[in-house]
Amino acid sequence: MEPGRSGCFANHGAGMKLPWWIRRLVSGPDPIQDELAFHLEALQQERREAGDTDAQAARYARIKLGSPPAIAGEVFARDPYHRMENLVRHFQLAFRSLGRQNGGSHVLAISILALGIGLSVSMFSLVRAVVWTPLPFPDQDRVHLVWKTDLQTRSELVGELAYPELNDLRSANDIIAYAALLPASPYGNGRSLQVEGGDPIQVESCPATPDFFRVLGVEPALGRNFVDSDEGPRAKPVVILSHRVWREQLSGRTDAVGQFVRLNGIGYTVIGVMGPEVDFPRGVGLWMPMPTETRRGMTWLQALVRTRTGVSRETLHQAASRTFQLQIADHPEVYSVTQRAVVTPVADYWTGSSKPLLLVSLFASLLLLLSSCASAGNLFLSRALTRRREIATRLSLGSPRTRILAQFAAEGLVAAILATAAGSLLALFIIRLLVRWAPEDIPRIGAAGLDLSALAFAVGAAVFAAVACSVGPALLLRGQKLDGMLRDGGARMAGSRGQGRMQSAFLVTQSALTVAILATGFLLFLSYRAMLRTDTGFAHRDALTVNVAMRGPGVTPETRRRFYFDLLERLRRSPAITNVAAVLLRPLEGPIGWDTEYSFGYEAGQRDPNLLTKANFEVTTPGYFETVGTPLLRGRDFLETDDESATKVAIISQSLARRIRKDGREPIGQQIHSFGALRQIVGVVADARYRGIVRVADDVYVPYRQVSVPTNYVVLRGNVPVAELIALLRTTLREVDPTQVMASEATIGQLIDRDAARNRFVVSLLGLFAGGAILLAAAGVHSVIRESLAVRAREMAVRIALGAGRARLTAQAAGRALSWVTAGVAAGLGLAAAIGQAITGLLYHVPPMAPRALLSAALFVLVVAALACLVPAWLAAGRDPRESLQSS
Amino acid sequence: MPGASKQTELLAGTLNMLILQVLAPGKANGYEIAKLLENRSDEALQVDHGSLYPALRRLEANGWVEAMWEVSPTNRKARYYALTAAGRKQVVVERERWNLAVAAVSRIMGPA
Repeated sequence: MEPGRSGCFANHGAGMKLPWWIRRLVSGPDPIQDELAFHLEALQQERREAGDTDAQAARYARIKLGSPPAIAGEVFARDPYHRMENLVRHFQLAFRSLGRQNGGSHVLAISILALGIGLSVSMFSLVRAVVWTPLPFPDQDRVHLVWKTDLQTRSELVGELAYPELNDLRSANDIIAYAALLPASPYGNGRSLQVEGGDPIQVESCPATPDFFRVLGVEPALGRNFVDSDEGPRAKPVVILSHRVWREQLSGRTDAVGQFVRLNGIGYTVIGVMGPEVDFPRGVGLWMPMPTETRRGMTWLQALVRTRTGVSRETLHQAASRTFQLQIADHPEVYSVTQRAVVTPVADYWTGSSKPLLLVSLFASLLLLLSSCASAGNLFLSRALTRRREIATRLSLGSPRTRILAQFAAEGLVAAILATAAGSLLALFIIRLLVRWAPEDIPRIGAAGLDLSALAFAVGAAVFAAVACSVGPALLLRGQKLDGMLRDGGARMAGSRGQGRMQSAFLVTQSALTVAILATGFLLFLSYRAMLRTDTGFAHRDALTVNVAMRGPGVTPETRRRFYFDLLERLRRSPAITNVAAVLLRPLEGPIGWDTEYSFGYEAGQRDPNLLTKANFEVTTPGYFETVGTPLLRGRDFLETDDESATKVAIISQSLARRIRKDGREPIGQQIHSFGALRQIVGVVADARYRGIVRVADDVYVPYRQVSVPTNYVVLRGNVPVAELIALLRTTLREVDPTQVMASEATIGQLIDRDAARNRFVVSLLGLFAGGAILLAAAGVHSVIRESLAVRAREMAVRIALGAGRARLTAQAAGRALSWVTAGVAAGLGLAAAIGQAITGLLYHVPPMAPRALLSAALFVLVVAALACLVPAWLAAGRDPRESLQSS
Repeated sequence: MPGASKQTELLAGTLNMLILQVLAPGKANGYEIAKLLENRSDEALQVDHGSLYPALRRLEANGWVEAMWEVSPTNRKARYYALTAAGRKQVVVERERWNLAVAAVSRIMGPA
């Protein structure tokens, strides 16, 4: 036997170590037939040589070998390669069935799944980008913000810290590795930055204590970090630039370190440039050492601390609480006995209110995914039901159940894979749309994309969908009696038990999920509408507000007042401008502003010394209220004559006036002790929402000539478009002082919109999901009713022929599905109530179980389901019985 | 049914071993393998030719034998099976396992 190799394996020498299945793949179909033919021939030959006749030899060989097709079948069934081939065949069938009869419902199921997967994958990507991606700070779990709250404050006025409190906190050095201070509010620390030879621009800055970057755990990409000697009145002024400012203002020069720049006209040396990933606080362009301060009353800061390894947030909270308790004992004149420590993880501080809102949206999209799986599962079940006779026939012909099951599973899997592919494509598109649509102040949302983890999520969703799609047919096969299936396989009575139960389960699940999504959407919508309807106290949405904080060396309260007076006078002279004024901090700039403790003159001596009353503090020029549209309810506005030499005066908000009236006094003429002086109340204005549309606070206003606190914003109205107002302001500003810079122009309307933007975004998302959910629910109900009508066509035809009323038939045909939908709606109401409770914190002026929201959702789902049921049932009940009987 | 299939597996295991052993001296085609098994056992073992081929496929899938088309002594094309390197090792393994099993069974059965 010469190894004269020929045939299929000629290319594969003995040394080749290819896996068997690759070799098999290359070699083509199994050669068993040829082998058996040879074997048979050899056996015959053997007998012929022994003297048998041809017929005898053939008979012997057949007996000896057995039936060649049976052996081939055995080989085929046992060979792992053929098992794979079977699988391939299942998939081929599954794909082919897409285009065949019932293919429409298959495509519908895939579209439904794609919608669910697309939306949930998009939300997952968004949440991941904004909430779950770690910040660029090593061990970010150890970084926290520490600030205060006071149990007595009526609203969420933020308790800020003063410079000396840094050392108080540092005493807990067994807990805290590094601590630094930064401003509590991210705005109002703008600086005019001027690089040699360029025009000044306004840049957000962050004064910080030297350990700031050590707390974050980052080092400058260029140059050096702050050191302790950079701090203090004698230190040389130094600044660290953000990557953006370095690139845009210093054109990314590598020799930037050591350069001089002017900040508010004062020379600073650039000592470092941070990497592009360090954007903390958000949008900041430069960091510089904070002026040291010994007064404990100067509260405008918050602490940023890095705990030692293994210290929990709880332990840090206890340590901070102890520190703040000691403060009360050491400085009773400064600290309120009701002050408490608040510790916020840096990640939460960073994402702010977008985190809960996005998580709610993600949750809603997951409900939608579930709903789409239920819907698709239902469609697949219906398909399997219409194929019962085929299945029964195959079973009776000896097809193993596993093989039929494998085919259903393959169909489910194919649907899931196609849906995942389509859903991922859809997600790519939706993510882009959402990122563009989202309010700008949601951090890092631009980084959202279809990354690996999002795809992993999509695959997870697909597996879930595949299970949902094949579980119906699988259960259908399990434990079915063959004869039963054959008997009623063609003309199944509607309401056969097993699959009927499953259809109902799908219907109940889907209706419940739809109600839950809808109700959540309604709740958030009502809350958003309440926000929009809130009287913010700023009636003039067209009023323009511009930051014109006067900056530069040698600015004194006096020169600043002069500057503002000149600026406003010149603007007032322009015929295009009807109102103009200035204010310390414009409305809706964020939850943190200037706070002032106050007490009324008549309370002197009888006031609880521990009582803490705080209000929002504003400094204004005359004419401010008229400009922004805050109604003056009593008394008078400020006048230019309310100056340093005149009686100190104040205007209060209506909420404060009400408190005075409750004490049985008339507000006008009362004394209020606030911001270091006793002031006479000369006016009462309407309540206004300075800290945010949903944040209630009392307001105390004082005239700009009676305090050293600056007015930083110009507000103006005119009879020309906003762009012209801005241009007018710019030219006027240049005339008054060319070194000053204006920034962040926005009308009151824009500020209000911006404040509501996140809510609007989430409400639109929920609206999208709710729309999708309703469509899915309608499709689900419709598919069930259609299947049941098809099965009952003959029965209905007979009854019509016998004269049954159309209405009665319709009700009977639709009744079962509708009753399950009703059960689902009831369950959904429970789910919605639970979700409402969970999102109470996000709701504004809406109770978590607002009957309006819950009932509208329930009613809406019921109406849609009823339409999806009754219309086809009604049509079917009106059909000519002859037609149905003939066609069946 | 389940009992029967278990029995087949048991036999199949033995059959695998026997086929490997028969192929140890050199390659053979399916007919020859069946003949060799019968002849070597002095006709005591009747090989079910039907289970021979699935067993050969299994051995092939395990990488213990490889197959090639060659011309038979009767001048016809036949598929020949030969041990691979892994197959040769497997022969040793199977033989040891068999000897252990035989020894164990003999100890239990005792001298007749």
